Amino acid sequence: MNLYHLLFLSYLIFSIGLFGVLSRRHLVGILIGIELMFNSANLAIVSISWSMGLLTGQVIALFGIAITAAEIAVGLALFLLTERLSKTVYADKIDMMRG
Amino acid sequence: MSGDFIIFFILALSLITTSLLTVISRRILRSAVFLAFSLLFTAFIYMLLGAEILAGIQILLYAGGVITLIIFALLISEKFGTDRTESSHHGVLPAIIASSLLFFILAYFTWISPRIASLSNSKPLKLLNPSKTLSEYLFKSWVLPLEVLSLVLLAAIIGALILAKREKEEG
Repeated sequence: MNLYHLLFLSYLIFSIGLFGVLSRRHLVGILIGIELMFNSANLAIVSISWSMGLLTGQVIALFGIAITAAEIAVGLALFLLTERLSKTVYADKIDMMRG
Repeated sequence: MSGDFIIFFILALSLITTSLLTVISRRILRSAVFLAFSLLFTAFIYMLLGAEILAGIQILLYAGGVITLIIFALLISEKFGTDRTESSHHGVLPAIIASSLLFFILAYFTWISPRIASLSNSKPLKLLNPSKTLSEYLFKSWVLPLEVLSLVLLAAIIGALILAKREKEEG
């Protein structure tokens, strides 16, 4: 395995996550797609720092994981709030801003 | 073909499969479970790259904490289980076009980049004691970002609490 394999794998996962974000209707489905994209970004950072023989990428990936945890907590709180206010879980049915 | 590459190939194949199942699964709870497996396979790839601490934290925090949080939020949501009759995706074709376009652009610019080619040719050197070095990095040269990160986590906890708090008169 070399850097190309790892990077292409991470690009593929990122594209799959983007597909999930763009095509899902459920709000949590969109969040799950964002999780996949975060994960593949971490994978790319770690593999590049691995090929350079450094540890900085691992530190940045650790910070990324912690920020993702914070993001998912706020995102799920927003999901519960949105569901309570607009009585739907689908992103294309939320029309609170429509006059 | 070395044994390392075979393990990597199997892991990559499982990672791609579970990620695809995550985004195309019609039921959202199944999607969350597939996401857990996908994060687990990523942790195994980290172990292959010699990042054992990162793999452990990935399993603990991601596959353990985040997935539990997602499943819990799904289960306490009021509309849970009513999604069987509705379609789960919309605009599939434009999404496929956009994401594959992104993949090919990224892959093309990686393929023509001379820096990545030189990195890929050089053999990565083995670090002597990566866990010890990592903790020294984390608590010596990266200690200020670490403390800022704890503030971010605190703000996220408070924000989530305030957002999800139920108003009294609504009850």
